[in-house]
Amino acid sequence: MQLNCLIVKRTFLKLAEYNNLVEQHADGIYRFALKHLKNEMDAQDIVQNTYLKTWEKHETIALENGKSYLFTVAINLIRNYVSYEKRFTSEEHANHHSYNESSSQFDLKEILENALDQLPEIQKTVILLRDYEGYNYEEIGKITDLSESQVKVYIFRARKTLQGILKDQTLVV
Amino acid sequence: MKITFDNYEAYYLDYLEGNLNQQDAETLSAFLLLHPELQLLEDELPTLAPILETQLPTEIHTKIKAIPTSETEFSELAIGKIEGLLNEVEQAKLESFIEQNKRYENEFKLYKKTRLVADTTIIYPKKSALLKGRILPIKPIITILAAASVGVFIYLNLNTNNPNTKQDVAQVIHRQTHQKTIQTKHIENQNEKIQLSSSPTTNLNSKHSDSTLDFSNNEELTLPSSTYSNLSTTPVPEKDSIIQTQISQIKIEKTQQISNPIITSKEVNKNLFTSSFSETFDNLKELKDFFGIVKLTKVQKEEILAETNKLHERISNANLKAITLIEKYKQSVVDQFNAFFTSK
Repeated sequence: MQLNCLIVKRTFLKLAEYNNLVEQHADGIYRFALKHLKNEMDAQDIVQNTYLKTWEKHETIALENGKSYLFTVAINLIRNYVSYEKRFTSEEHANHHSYNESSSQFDLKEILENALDQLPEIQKTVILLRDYEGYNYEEIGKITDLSESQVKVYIFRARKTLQGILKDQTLVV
Repeated sequence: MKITFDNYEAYYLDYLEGNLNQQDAETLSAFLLLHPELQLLEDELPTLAPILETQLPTEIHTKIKAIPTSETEFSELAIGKIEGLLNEVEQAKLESFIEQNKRYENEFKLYKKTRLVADTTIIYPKKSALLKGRILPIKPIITILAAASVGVFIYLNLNTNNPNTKQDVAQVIHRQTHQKTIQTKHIENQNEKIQLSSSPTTNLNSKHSDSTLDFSNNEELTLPSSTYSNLSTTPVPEKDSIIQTQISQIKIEKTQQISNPIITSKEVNKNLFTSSFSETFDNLKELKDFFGIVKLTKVQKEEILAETNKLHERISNANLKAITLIEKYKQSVVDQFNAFFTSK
């Protein structure tokens, strides 16, 4: 067998593929960031920085990993941002904000949005990747650096929590 | 372990349930042989063994096995259903549980609602700013830029030279026409003297100073009507038909001679503009539309700069050649007119 038969040629991101990633996934990453940060400007910054970092490394990113690389970068940026915000935002303000939102909205979709905000960050991340982007457990595990069973457990817990909140809210309504 | 009167019942139950291993079963049999009063009659335990696993119909067996034993198991099944993880048995288990416990129907509906749906109306507003510009192949760019530069140069050169050229030609025509008019007048005066005619003649010089050629607005080069009128309205004696014929011929041939070079000039203009200059810009526009904003690397910029310097040199040479050609062209026009009027 010739040696070149054994060599798997990897294709890396080029300009056209990078632009395709922008066209196809910029909106998804923006929505993903917006769900986490609840602020349009911050979400836009996340998207911009995500693509900036991706472009810097585009010559080393395999073509088939483009999308997952984008989300990995975005998740890390969001984590950094959230931890930074937690340090500098008063808890009182956060609680007040949460109270105002949850007390005034009875629409099911909005209840669900509020319920989503009550999830721990990791659960929120995995369930958004699952439902918004349609990733399977293995892919989510790669993006979030978790095992497949951990992803499954987080999704289970997230859905159970969401169902519990929905149940309580609908009872109140 | 030894079987005694204190523990034989537990062994017996395990045996009836089929949970006793071979060794313990043999030990129990031996114990019962020693104590036959303890052995149960066959009709006292007729159906215990078949109920457990195998002899029930499959559907009933599935349903019995399927019923969740706790709420946690129901949650697992419900979430598994949403996630698409359940096999047929597990799905049947969930359905039978919901059928038997109607209050869980609503719970299951709420689980279904935990599936999030992305709001596709939310769009990242600055997507175009994220796109990277295409890097064009360098050679076509240089070629296009070169063609465009030459086109612009020739366009500007002709635009600045053409009016002067036209003006020069006009002056020559004006001068030659003036000379010819004087010659014609001289011939007529001589004829008058010879024939001693009494008919009055118009003073040709009176209006001649007004005759100027206007090339600024019209592409076609034409003589002013006053010039023709000076020639044609001159009251020529009927007998002097030779002179009249000569004047008519002059008018016709002059018009032809004058207009032909201008037509050639227009063709030159047309070729330069439509085929070269405008097409070049059309190509540029198409390329721009196709490739978007052109962004070049540093190396490419240096290459373009080097090529541009070379082109600049070539354009300078072309400029000199073009000026020479235009001068030759002007001179040839003047020579043609000179030759024409001299021959007449």
